[in-house]
Amino acid sequence: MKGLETDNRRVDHLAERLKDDALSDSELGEVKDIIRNQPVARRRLVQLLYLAADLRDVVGSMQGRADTNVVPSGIRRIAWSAGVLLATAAAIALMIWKPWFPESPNGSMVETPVASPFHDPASDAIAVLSRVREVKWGLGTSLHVNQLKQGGLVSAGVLEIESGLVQIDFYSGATVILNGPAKFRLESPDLGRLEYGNLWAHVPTPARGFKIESSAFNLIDLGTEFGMQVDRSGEGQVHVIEGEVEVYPNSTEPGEGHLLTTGQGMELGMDGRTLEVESRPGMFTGSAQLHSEAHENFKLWQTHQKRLRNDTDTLVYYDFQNLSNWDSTLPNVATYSPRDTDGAIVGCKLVEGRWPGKGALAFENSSNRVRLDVPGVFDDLTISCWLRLDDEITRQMALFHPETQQDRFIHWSLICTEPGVAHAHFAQSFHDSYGKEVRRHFHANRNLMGRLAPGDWINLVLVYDSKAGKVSHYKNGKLIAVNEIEEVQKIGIGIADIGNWPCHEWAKGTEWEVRNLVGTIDEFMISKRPYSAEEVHRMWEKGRP
Amino acid sequence: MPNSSNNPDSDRGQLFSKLLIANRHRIYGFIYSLVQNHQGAEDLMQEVSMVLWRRFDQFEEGTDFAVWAFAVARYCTLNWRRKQARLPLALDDEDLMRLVDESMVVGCESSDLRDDLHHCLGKLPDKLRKILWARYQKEEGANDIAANQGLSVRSVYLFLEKAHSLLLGCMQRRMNRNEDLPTS
Repeated sequence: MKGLETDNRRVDHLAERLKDDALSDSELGEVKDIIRNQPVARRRLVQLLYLAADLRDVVGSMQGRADTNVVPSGIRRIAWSAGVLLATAAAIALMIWKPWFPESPNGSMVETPVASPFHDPASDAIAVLSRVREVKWGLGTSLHVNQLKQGGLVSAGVLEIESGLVQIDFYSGATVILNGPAKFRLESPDLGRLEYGNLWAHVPTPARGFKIESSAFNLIDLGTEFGMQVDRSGEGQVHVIEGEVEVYPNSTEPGEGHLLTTGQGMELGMDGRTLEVESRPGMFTGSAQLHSEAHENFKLWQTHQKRLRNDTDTLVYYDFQNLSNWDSTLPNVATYSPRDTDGAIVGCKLVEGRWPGKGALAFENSSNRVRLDVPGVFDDLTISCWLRLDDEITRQMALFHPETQQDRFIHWSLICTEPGVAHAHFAQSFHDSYGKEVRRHFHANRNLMGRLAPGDWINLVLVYDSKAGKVSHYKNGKLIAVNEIEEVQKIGIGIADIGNWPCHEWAKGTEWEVRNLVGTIDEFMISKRPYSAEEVHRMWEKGRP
Repeated sequence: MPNSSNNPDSDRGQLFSKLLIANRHRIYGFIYSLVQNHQGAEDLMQEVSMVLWRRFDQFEEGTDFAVWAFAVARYCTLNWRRKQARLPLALDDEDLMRLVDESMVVGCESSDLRDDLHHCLGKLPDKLRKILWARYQKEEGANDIAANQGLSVRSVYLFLEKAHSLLLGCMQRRMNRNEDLPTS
């Protein structure tokens, strides 16, 4: 003890209790006295708080465990050159940016250079990887690992796949499916080069003129569907499934190509020799494989969704099926739904969901939303949402937000912690016996959800279980966080928006004004029963694309 | 470096970006010392960064960016505190100002100590480091750490206090030593 100052050990203890949000009343009194009367202890208290902030930064960003205490200095250096992204000409969106260390194509850890704050990777993109199935990337791949996923925007570069299937949608409208092993170079929106492997291409009318080069020949598509195979020596073949293709062996002069039409094929050697053969569409099964897999999964979901809609506890079940672009009503198809619980579609566009033929609504701007009204109060709740973000998340996005001028309501949203990373947040609001609004927050701890890749379908589920006294957050069938409920309260939903929030005057001009979802939803369910972990897992398993 | 010759905002943006990166941890530390809650501090950090960018034309080059940022952070944080239904440390205005002043002083005096922190973390006994990892990497509270590591809550607090105290001492010693060294 030094005079009247609290000794260091006591200050240390109080700081720990404070950081744990666990100060008792008497400890709170001690802390106040330190702040008011004890300059030395006050300094130490504040230093300990700064230390906690630094520790969270330093320890939180370490990849290893406590027993692997040494962090490679290279990684550390990069972590500290963490930057800031100044986004878009609209220029208010500004985010703290931390680099990450994704898996390289061959599975080892690679350091990703910090992205330039001003560089928008989308601006160089010439195509989208619209489907990526069980792909093992080859070492020849030059594109950034972050692009090599479903929905990834790809710029000019090389894709090499050892096995699996990739569908590339070029910005010109042409679609190419690569069936591994294959090596393909993306040159521009209307030009690619097949080094070796097997590809299937569909070129709709607007993309006519799409070109594919190879060592032995070049090919111009005149609006068609065709298959092409090139072996590692460079020799290859072209098979027209429907439409017309012009083929230029290396030896030919410009303008002297061979025109192939439906049912025709050609084998081409490195020396310019050609041999016309009958088209063999059976060689190019990538497209059929992707379609039949999607079809199977769609059927699986359709069987499962009958159970959800017929469950007596299901309050709201929007399956987004059988909609037309003229519909402004999203029907609640739950068999035992309360009356008048159809959703009102405001501005959202009808698009394709997880599978071909599955309906979905795209939320594209701050006016888009689905408004609904669910009367009643409930002890328990499960909300499930299948969604796809259409862009990297950089700010808060509402999944389900209430009109707040109600006695009881709930919030459910994604809170962005750094670009591309978010955590789920749930809040329950009610009025206490004095009529004061009380709001309880349940955060799924930061970053536990991992990166939310644009283009990936994800299933988010929130379970409020009054008996267990727990709020559980799930992503893709996996429990990612549990919060204790200190004081169980009845839940009210009332009027609420899916994918947006009923903005109020006070929020105009503040950063809270904009929190609409930029993405696509194709299934939304509310049940008054707390789903078990198994049920949540099954929902994901039967619904994954 | 992006080609910024045709974009007058770019150089300014680059400068801002650089300054924010260099000072982010001090600003975050300042905010956290006033809200004592990481979630709140993260949210505030986002907000403060945005306000700083919006007002960046008011920043005088050559002055301490962090000190300028503290003023903005102070305003946002006090505003935020007012709106919270519950705070880990509820203070009346006078005490709050004492805490703000102290945090400002500590923030202004500190530099980037995280290299020192790395060094000092390496010197901690494994047992303490394991508990710190649970605390800061997994973000577990004392009760969770106790349950997961088969310790009493009291021991967890003792270990945490010991670990923080050792780190603070180690870093202060390193800082003093650096101050003694002639600058090259």
